[in-house]
Amino acid sequence: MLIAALILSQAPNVASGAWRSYEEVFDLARAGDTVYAATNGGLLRREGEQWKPVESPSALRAITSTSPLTVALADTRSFALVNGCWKPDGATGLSPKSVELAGLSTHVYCYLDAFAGTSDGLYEKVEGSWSRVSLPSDLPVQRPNGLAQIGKRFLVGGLGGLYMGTPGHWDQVSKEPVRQLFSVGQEAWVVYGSGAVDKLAPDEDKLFPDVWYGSAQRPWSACIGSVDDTLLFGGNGGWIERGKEVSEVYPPELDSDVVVAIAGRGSTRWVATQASGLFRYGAGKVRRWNPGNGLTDPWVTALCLDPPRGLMVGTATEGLFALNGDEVRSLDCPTKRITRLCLWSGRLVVGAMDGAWVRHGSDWEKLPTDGEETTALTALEDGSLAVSTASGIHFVSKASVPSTR
Amino acid sequence: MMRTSALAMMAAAACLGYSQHVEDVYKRDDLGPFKLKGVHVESTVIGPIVRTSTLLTYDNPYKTQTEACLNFSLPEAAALSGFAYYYGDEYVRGQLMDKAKAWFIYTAITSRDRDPGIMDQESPTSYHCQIYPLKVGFDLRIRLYTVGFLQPSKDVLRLPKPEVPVSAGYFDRQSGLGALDWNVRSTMSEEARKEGDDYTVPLPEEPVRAVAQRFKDGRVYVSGLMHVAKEDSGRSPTFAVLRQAKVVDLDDHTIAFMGWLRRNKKIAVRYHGQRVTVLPEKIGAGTDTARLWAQQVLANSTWRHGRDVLRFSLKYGVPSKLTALLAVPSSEMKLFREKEKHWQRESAEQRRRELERAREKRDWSQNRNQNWQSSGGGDPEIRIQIPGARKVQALLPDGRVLDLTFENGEWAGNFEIPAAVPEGAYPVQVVAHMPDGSIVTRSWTYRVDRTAPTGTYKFVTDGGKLLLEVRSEKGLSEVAAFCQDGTKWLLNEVAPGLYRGEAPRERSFTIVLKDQASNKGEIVCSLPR
Repeated sequence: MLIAALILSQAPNVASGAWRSYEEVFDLARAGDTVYAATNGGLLRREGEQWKPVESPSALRAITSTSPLTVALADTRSFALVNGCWKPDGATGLSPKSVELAGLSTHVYCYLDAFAGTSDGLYEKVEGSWSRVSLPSDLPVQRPNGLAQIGKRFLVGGLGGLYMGTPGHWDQVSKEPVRQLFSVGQEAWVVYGSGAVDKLAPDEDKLFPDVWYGSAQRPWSACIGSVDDTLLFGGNGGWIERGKEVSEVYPPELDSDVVVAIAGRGSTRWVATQASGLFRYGAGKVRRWNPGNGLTDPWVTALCLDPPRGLMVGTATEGLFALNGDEVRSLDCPTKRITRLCLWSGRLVVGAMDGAWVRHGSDWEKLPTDGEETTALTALEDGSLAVSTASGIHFVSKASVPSTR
Repeated sequence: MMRTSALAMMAAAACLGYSQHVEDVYKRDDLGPFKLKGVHVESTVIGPIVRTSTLLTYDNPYKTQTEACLNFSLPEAAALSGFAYYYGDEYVRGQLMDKAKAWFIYTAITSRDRDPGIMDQESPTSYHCQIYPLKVGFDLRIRLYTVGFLQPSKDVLRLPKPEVPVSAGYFDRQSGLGALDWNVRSTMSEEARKEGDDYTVPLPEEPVRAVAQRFKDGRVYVSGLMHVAKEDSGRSPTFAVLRQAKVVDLDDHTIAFMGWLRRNKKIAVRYHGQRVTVLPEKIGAGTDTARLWAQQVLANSTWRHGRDVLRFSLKYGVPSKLTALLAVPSSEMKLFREKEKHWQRESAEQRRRELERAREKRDWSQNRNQNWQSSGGGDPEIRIQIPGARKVQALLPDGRVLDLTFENGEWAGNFEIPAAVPEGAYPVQVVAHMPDGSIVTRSWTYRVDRTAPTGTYKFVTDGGKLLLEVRSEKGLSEVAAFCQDGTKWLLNEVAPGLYRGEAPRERSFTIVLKDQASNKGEIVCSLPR
């Protein structure tokens, strides 16, 4: 609750506590004099000539009742607004809706009064022709998978591609789905779903596309990490290091496995794989941790150095582990399905399939992301934390986490 | 252009080779000459070398846009160290750059009728310059900066004297050489004396005179003159200490030499059995001696790669066959940079499109319509081939309709399976709208599966080999045994639901079962005693 109250109260670069995209309007309903729109980003309410966000769950697909106001979500759950609070209301079945309207080329989900909800936003019929209604979207993409800040501009990557700009003023850089964004100084590195890697220098207005294609043996990356001034690109059966020189490492142990996270310190590299657990290279003999010796899930999803506690290891189904020296041990953690880890204001943040948490001493405090799947964690220049989820980006201010270090 | 070059080279070959020699200055349109208004020369004698700055002023009577060309040559033992022109009253200095890029910029700017100047090298001693268009109402003014050696002439050393015809068109020279307004100053040597139209300095008493100058790369470059007895003419002297020494004969009795040292110290020259040592006189840090040496290296070395020539030429600021001096007014350069950014963006976009096409050829899907068939949540991608379709939509089980985009013969799009969606089979329907109004549909399902697989294990022997056998559900993505030392033993599906592999050598290990949705089951097992 403490965190919820302090969301972004001191984050000057961020327009609101959460950025959402309201670009798909699935249902329209009238409750009394008020018209509501169910969108991918949540509920909107018409106030005068404007549409304003209403605090609600996101990823809506239908308004199933107006008394009380009840919405259905993409995951089939249903919520009803009772006494100002959204309460679970069982589950509901969903099926594609379609309305035929002349003059609109996009898919029309619903029609109410002069409004049409479509796969390309909301349209209003004015003097016989359709015009697109401006909705208060902060985000240009659905399912953001990464956020990076370069000066006063942001890069947002998601299913709909890569965009650069600020809320409401986005320019599309690429239409390819983005897997991860990683900023280093005035540059940003983009890992796409296809495995391609682009380098972007926004201040120089330069884009270097597919940097490893033709220059690396395996021009396919799944993740980026860094150690000192060296960038690490994990890929198929190994990784690429880009420091003063570029080198590629494809150890036989990683053959036919995917490096999904990578971290380092000095010449040591910790390499997380999808099927064979965690490996350590560069510190003597190659060491590995997997269900045979304490790391009970061979699918490691995230790594984060948290000295002096050691290397934090997130797994897909078995939660959080700490590797100290050669010893790996399970840590108490509110989630088992970890997707991301990051160190923010000296505290470990865990992103998972069912929410995000920040460690506070020996306790964990849940971050206000509606329990959604965490797709990225980004520490921003103003000290706030951006938690990207399947339906938007939530911002948490630095002041919300007291420092104990 | 080619004809101009040829003529310039012939003219260069014919010249005396002792001085800056302007061959011709003409209009590019009709090849007619420009009339010389004045030549102002500033020469500085520094020991055996001479820095020369020459300002050529020509009348520009033309009221229309005119392109001026100038060809000139330099002695073999001299280097062009700079070029500039005046755009109206603005002094615009040339910048040495990649020749291809320089001509690209020149062409780009002149195509907008703006005013750059360019100078490139046609042979190691001849140069060609173009300026377009001349600013109407202003004279054509060109400045050349060179560095060379004093020229031996009987018992004195003569300053190289620029030779500029009063009026020389492309085909005809109509008059003699123009008079010079020549200022000379000397450092580290006796004052130059005026003798008629020339300036001279006395021959040094010692047979070798050299100067040493530190360059930005930290080396000390040495240039010098050496008097050679008549009987030794034609023989090459050998140098000790001086590195990569180059020699140019100035006449039968005098040679110019250049080379470099890590730090200034005595150098030794040996010729015809005699050895002479000399400590080069130090002069302030600069580029003169380095350029004289670099000019000889560029002219007389064999280069394996063009990029090496380019790098060397740019380092020393000496034009080569791969570089040119481009002079562009700052306002024009700013405009060009903006345009260049635009071109670079377009070029990057073009390259990006090419790379995307190359990427798409990497077959990720193995002809599946969807890259995941089973999941616990995430963002799978659909790709489907429906030839001839006008529009294709995917009807997703959560009620969403996804417009697929057509790329390289496939209709594609990503969709999201929410992390909290219940387990079960979910239908995906793809509807294709054909040009004739008909509809083509395809459908398949994906499974949301969060149930971990379970299984049993036993040890079997086959041909004396101990094998591990696991029974579980069929089609698991991976079954592996993990040992305490971290080794991994993979088991293969030998029959539906039956996985078999070599048994690990350890007494106890953990078997991990993973299904297609990455749910994990675990069996801890021990070898029988």
